Amino acid sequence: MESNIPEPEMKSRSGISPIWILPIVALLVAGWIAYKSIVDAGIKVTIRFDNAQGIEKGKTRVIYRGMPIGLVTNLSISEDFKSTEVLVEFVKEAHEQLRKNTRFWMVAPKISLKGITGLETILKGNYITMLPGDGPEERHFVALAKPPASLSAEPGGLNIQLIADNLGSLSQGSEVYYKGIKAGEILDFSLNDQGKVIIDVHIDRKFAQRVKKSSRFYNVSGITFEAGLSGFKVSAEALSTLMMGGIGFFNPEHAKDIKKAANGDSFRLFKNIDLAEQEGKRITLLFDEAKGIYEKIQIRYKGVEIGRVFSVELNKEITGIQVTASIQKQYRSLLREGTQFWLVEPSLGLAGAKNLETIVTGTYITLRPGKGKPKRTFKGLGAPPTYLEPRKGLKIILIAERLGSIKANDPVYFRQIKVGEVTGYRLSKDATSAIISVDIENPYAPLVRTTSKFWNASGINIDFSLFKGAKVRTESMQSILEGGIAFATPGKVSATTEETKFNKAKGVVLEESKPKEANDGGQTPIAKQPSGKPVKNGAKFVLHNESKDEWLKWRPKIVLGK
Amino acid sequence: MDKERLTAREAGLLNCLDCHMLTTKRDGALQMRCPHCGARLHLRKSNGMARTWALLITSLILLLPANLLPIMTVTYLGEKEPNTIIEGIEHFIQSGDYFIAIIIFFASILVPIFKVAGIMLIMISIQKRWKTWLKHRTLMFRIIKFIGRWSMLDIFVIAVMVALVNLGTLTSITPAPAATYFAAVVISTILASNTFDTRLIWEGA
Repeated sequence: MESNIPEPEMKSRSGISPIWILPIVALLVAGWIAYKSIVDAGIKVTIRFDNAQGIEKGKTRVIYRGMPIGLVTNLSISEDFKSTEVLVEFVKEAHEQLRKNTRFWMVAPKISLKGITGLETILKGNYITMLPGDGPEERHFVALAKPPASLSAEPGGLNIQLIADNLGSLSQGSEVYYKGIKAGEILDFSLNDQGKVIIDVHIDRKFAQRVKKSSRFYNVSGITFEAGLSGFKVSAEALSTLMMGGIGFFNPEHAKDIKKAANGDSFRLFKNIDLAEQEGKRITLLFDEAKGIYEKIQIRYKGVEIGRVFSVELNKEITGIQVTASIQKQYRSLLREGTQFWLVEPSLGLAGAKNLETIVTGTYITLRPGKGKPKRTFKGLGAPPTYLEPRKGLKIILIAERLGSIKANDPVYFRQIKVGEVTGYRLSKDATSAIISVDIENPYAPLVRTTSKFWNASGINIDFSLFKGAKVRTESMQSILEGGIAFATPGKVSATTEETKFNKAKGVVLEESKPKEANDGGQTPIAKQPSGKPVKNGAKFVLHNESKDEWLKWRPKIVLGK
Repeated sequence: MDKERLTAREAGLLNCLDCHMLTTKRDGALQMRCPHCGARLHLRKSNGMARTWALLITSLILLLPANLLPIMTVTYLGEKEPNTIIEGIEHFIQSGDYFIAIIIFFASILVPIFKVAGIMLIMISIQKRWKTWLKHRTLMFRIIKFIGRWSMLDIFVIAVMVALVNLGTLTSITPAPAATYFAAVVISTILASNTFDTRLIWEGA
């Protein structure tokens, strides 16, 4: 068709349709969502549980301090079918807390003597909780079978370890008391390589200052009922310890300015407060037999308790008894080479009873300190040492054919007055005679002269002859029962003079009642001077089996020492 | 195909898409209107291919957040539990409601994907000028148009649930972001099927 009318310009459609805005907007929105999800992406962590009971995929949360911070996104069983791998997605803020020592565990409702915990999980289901730890970042964890630590383990408290032989009735959550106030609690316990129980304890911040390096911890679990010869004792701490067990601690009085304990310090846990109080230097005593030695018997020195026996056991060779005891620290100077230990038991003899108090208080171990270097292992004596105290008297030695009934501590009489004691005896080196050491008290030392005669005054001496009739001679009653030694010192003049004088004087009392004579004894006639010379320490005399009549009549004047 | 067949376009005729009145085509700058119903008349829908493509791509992109994000949040005893579409279906399967699970699976997952994929296939076939399966393609498009209206089912389910299950903190259901994206997917696929001109299928035939 031909025409004058111009044809419209034909242009191809330029540009793009505005409809394309739609996919661009969609792309932007989707891109933004993708970006957000990448930025906000949680941290995927696997936690291995022995038992995933109660854990639900997509439901179970990880709650820390009441805040959900993670969600279980998947559950799978481990390859060996022995545990469950739980995949948890954490909020990214948890990033910093997922470290090697972070611990996870499941919170489930729990009803115990201490109370009911985890009640909220009855409605909401179990949840996983955590305790942040340190170390490098970590994405794979193994959950604990039970809560590791109380959540009340506030920062600033003190974490220490106690080492015990036996956990006893303690358990996680058992409380720690200081002066009866709750000061902390047991977080955990485990066995170490040596088979000791290691108890992790948390001390609250308020009480952290109270724990010193020297603090003593003791088990206060339940009721302690202790009965013995010394009576009985019932002790209990707070009522909750009856069921839950508990630990007490105190600071020994002499340790006030000791340094404060630091995190991770170890302490020994004593079985009870007595042992904790008695704790000091550990010593080992070796006895031949354990008769009369029990756990907890006292160790006394001069009648004062200075320690306790911890354990009594046979030694490795089964040849004797090994007694472990503890001596309070302030008395450790007593523990030296040469210190002798022996058991004090009640003894009933004809001559009387000794150590009767031990019937009531129980036997105890006593000691005589030595002077050597400090020492920790001692040999216990079967009997009291023959030489108890260092005496300053005159030491002489008697040589006898036989010992007779003489024993240590037997009295030595002069005119039936005790002037000394037998301190010991032994066989002479060639075994021909008994050697008896005697200690004469200082004031009476001058009585012993080189010419003095000693005889065994033990028992009753009965002379029986047809012509003279019977003659019974004894020293004191005690010597009859217990034995003893008597001696006499002759005057310078002949025995007969002495004898007559003695007869006339009719006894010692008469003589001594004349003060004048006694006073100027030095100027008395020569006949009244004792014969022989004063002896020195170590002088030797023969011990006669019996006295001769004449010896009994000797009565020279001798000035006593002071 | 039958080469001798005359198309309306070749005959210079136009069909009103609304009232189906046949008119003669007139060239000119002015808009052509149906003398019968007043609807706009196109020889072919203007710019149809580009629009359809744009809407298809939009719906394709929006399908991702619609399926990956939670579509509703179930609050049970104060515990909020967001659910994606798939998780919701899992829930129904676990609780034994297989019928509902199947319906939701069809309406929410299969249908949108089928729609998008089907239209895309048709579009590609037109652009590549494939000459086979013309009838089938038309049939497929008819089905797509038919089921398109049902793909809003999921949104209805959520709307009904939100209204019905509302017991405060004890149990309640609230829509989550994916619901919006899902609705956008449905809308854009419906628009895509509308902007598509079926006559294009037969164009090159």
